Amino acid sequence: MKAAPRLEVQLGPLKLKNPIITASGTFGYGTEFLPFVDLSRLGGICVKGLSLSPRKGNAPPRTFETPAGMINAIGLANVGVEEFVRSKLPALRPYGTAIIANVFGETVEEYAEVARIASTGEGLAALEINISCPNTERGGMVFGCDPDGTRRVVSAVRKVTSLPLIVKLTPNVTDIVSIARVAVDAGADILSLVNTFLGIAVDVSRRRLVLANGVGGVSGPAIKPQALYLVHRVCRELQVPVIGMGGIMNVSDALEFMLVGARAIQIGTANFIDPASSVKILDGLLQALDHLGIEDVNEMVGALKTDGPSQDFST
Amino acid sequence: MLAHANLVIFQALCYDARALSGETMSPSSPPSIHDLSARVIENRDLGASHFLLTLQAEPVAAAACPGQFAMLRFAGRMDPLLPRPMSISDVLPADGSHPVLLQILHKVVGRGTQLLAALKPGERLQVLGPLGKPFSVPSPVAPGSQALMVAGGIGVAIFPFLVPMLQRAGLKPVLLFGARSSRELVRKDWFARQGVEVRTATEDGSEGAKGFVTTLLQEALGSSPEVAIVYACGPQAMLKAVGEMLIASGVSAQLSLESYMGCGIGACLGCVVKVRRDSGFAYARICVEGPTFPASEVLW
Ligand SMILES: Cc1cc2nc3c(=O)[nH]c(=O)nc-3n(C[C@H](O)[C@H](O)[C@H](O)COP(=O)(O)OP(=O)(O)OC[C@H]3O[C@@H](n4cnc5c(N)ncnc54)[C@H](O)[C@@H]3O)c2cc1C
Ligand SMILES: Cc1cc2nc3c(=O)[nH]c(=O)nc-3n(C[C@H](O)[C@H](O)[C@H](O)COP(=O)(O)O)c2cc1C
Ligand code: FES
Repeated sequence: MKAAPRLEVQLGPLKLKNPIITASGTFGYGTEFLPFVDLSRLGGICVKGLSLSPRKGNAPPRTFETPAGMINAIGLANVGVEEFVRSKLPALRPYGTAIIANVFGETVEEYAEVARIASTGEGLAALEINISCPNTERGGMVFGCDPDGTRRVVSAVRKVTSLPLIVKLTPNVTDIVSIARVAVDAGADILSLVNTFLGIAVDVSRRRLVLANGVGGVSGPAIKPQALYLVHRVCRELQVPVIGMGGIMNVSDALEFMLVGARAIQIGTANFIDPASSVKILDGLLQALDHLGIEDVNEMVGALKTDGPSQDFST
Repeated sequence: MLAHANLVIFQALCYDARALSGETMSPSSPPSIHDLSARVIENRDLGASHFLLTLQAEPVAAAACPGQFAMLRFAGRMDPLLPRPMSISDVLPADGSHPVLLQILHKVVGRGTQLLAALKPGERLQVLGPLGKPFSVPSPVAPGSQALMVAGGIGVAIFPFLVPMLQRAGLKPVLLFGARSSRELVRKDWFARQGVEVRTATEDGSEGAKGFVTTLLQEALGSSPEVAIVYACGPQAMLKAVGEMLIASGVSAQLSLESYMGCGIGACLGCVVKVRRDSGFAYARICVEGPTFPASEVLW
């Protein structure tokens, strides 16, 4: 019998048994999915964004369906980093899957403190810093939209942790490559992209914005082409390992992200549509590689052919 | 809390063996949630854009309790994307030709429900459930006491499954049913056939009392016999009014709330409602901490 395709991927200091990770904010703290997913099969689990103190989040409505996607403004509700380390992390440890803590703060100091506390958690595989957060000390300017904000957050976190450091980029910038470069220079081992695209939904009959928060983040199949483009750009310009995401619903989507250079991928909104999406995509990946006669998933990474016409990506 | 002092929270007498064995579903035991491809047995047009969908979804039906819901979707479809939450309207017991069946009563309001309405026997639909916290019934009850089911429009969908459970508990079920017009008082005769007393109100006065269902509730609370508990499901404005009336009257009440939902399983934190907790408030997820809430807990 032919051996199953190898799925292990190495992202700088982070080794994953396969490239399938569940995306922050779409997989709860993992255990919500126990009825549907054998957590031990996943390459990684990225938990809901953690802050220094517990947060209640925004008033409802918080989510709304948009064409082939959804918009959300949850408001980063979470149990707080200490509670995560105390009760949520131990529940995930037995599954032998890379647990990634997604962290954020409203000041540089807060980012560093959350990262420091998260790093004390036994068995944590990596930190992912969500830099799509407004800086309350600088008039709400989003850290990740500003090279200086990005540099300060990433270097502050780098100083307090020896864990593999993933920096999660926001797509809501003019030039994602320049922000990516700053993040890497400041100590990121890995980049993950994209977070949600800013958007709004309007209720015509009430003449109001649908979400209580007004603005929200768009995710799902609707953002896949934009996300693919940004992942492709970053992978072409930088040597750093990249985790790609944005609208991945099936194995073909996952392979598209890998072909443009992502070494691993995250499954987000798809977890809401079918709670077993992550493992179904993993099964699909095994089948697809087998079908294509590919022995190692790494052969797909960045394997996009760029000869022939209409391959000019300069815009 | 005073409002449900007389309420012994024992779980719904569900259809399945758990109930028969007297076992209750505690939050620590993992809920048996199933995600399966269900075959459409029948999709009956009840008029006024209402449809009664009967599905072969045995494990979901067998595990369901009154008050719970399911997420329905078309497998592989990306637009509309999200699954649609629908109350488990009823579970039909197995007979010679069919295993237990699941019924969904729905009203066409948009693209997702349009697709549901177009389903034909033999076609398939993905069903995730049962989800959420079921209704609970008071025990013991004073002989002859009533359980009021207050329905606003399509909110009536949640009640057929509750009726036998109330009857088994020794309560006399009364349906207070409000809708825009007579045509929207769907399944009213079904309730009557089950021995449920049905009182109606319509906004256009085409049937029953003219006005809102809250008028019927006011009357019912003011008269004897004793009302042991009130269940309500319908538009938010109605639930708010009903909740306030019941808190004022001291009768315990459970409201079934709705919200836009992402996942239905507690993961996205999208479906919250503000509830009283300790000395302050919290946002509770309607899909797991609800959809049924004691009226006294909800902060509108
Ligand atoms: C727990 C629960 C139980 C429900 N039970 C029933 C039932 O038994 N019968 C029935 O007819 N309807 C029920 N609803 C409402 C039903 O989910 C919506 O009418 C339906 O989702 C509308 O989908 P659409 O695509 O036709 O409408 P659209 O307006 O096109 O939907 C757009 C988006 O808004 C959401 N949405 C729209 N209206 C509602 C609503 N009232 N509540 C929640 N989400 C909404 C949709 O799910 C979708 O994500 C229930 C809702 C909840 C939360
Ligand atoms: C409801 C919801 C909550 C999210 N919460 C977070 C979060 O806490 N931290 C974070 O970095 N990203 C968060 N995200 C973004 C996702 O992790 C992901 O980057 C984005 O949704 C794009 O992928 P998708 O299209 O596959 O969902 C959230 C997304 C959704 C839909
Ligand atoms: S719908 Fe996702 S948490 Fe309730």
